[in-house]
Amino acid sequence: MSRVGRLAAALCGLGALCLSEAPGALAGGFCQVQIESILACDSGSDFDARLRTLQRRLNSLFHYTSYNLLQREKRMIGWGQPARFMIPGRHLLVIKPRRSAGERVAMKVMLAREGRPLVGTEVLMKNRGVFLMGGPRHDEGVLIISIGAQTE
Amino acid sequence: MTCREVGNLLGPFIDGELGSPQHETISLHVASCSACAAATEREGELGRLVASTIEEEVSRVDFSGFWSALERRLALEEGRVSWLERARRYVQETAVVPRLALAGAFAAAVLVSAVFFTDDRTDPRLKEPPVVVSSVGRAVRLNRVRAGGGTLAVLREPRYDTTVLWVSAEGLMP
Repeated sequence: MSRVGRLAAALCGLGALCLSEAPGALAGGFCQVQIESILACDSGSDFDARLRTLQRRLNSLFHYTSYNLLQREKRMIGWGQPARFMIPGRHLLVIKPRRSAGERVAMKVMLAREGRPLVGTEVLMKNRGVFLMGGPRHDEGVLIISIGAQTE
Repeated sequence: MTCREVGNLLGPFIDGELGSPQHETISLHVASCSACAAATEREGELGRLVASTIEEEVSRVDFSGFWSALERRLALEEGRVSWLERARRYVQETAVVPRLALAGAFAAAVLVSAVFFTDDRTDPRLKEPPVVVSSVGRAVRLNRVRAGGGTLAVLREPRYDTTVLWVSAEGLMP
């Protein structure tokens, strides 16, 4: 085999190895993450119609009188790739999907404000499930961030 | 006990959180039901996935800044706060746990950053105060929750199996 041929074969082998070890190769290569930033406050009694799917959950958890969707963002993120979401109030949310297994998705989540980390954790959630983070003050209320993940 | 009832208790069953009679009942059911045995195996795999996730090295991309910031604040806090204040905080920390544990109905976990724990208040608009539990819902599980400061609560609303990670008193961060 020529030198070029050996190099090409080596590159192909390396590529195949990388693909076989990538966790995403088992689950379509991407994880769809949806982030919804919600402002919950006690002024008014509005419930944003776009949050209908979360209404029961929010009402069963909190006493706030109004909920408004500030921002919704959906992205396809590669496994092992960190993605940064700008959240109102100078917050930064970093999501890093790690892998999927069966009906579960594992991801790292970190929330920071103005460069200061507020909280970081590893989450294992059901495919198409929703996980909430909340508490940071924003305007006259608090932010509640809904994190949803979906794989093939 | 039906398969559905067993399914609802599989998480606590695998985590060893059930009492002896219930644990025994489910064990017997699983031994004689292939569907529930398979479900138990899947949940077991989930547990192993959690363990492997925990074992993985913390990514520098995600969290290097987090830990260094935490360490810097820890050093600042230790240097700035008097021994009297630290003693007061210690009492505050130790006093809050039983109070939270009495809250009963709401399955929740409270995780505090021991050094930065400067305020035991949770948001009064949360319907129930948090209590200490060993695990969170079946739909969502959290590992290695770390706070940058203030008070951190992990709450689970059982009816819709909703998990909330609640950060409060962020203004107290240095």
